[in-house]
Amino acid sequence: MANDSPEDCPWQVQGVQAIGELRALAGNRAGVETMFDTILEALETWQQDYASFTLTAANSMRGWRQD
Amino acid sequence: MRTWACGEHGCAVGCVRRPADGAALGQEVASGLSRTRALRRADALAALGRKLFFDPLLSGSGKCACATCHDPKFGYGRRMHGRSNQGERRYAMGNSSDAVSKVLADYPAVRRARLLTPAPPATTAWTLVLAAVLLGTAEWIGDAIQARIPPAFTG
Repeated sequence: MANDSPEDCPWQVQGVQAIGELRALAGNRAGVETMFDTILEALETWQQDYASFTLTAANSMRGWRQD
Repeated sequence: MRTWACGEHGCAVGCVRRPADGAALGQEVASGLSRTRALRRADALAALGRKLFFDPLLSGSGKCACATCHDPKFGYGRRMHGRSNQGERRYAMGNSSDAVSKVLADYPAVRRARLLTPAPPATTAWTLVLAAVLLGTAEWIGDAIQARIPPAFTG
């Protein structure tokens, strides 16, 4: 499930749909280290973005029910 | 500090624990990135982070996204199934997620970046106009009160 090392993660990300956005933010010549840092920075920024992160949970939980 | 594997269940990238990096965006602004560019970058990063969080291809197996365990439907906790005494299916919040506690504990870096950047000139100008109007009004009220006080009291 988890990647064996941080170096594997940027290679995995080559296949994701957002690779274009990642390259735009990290730079086209970014190495593995920079790519990995950008991935972490993106995840962290999203987690700290109230409008997106918290409301995503709130909207998802709106349909929450016990059945 | 950075991690690439969640200590709890080994997520794709992992629960990000970088306590000292909360001010990264603010530092960027302080180092010369313009306010507009800093906000644009923060928005782009947030949008990218959201996509990566739900994308299973980021994991080693290619089948497990961050959201698989940290399900937003359950407050970014783990989904737990169970049955009540009456045999009803019940769902409950899983373990408190690192993600949500982080949001509650930390001051958002994005908001911090906005606070560190100077206000745009338009805002400053409107603030000055409003202050001038308020000061003028206060002076006018003061004069009106002064005019109504009998001379005996004012000396």
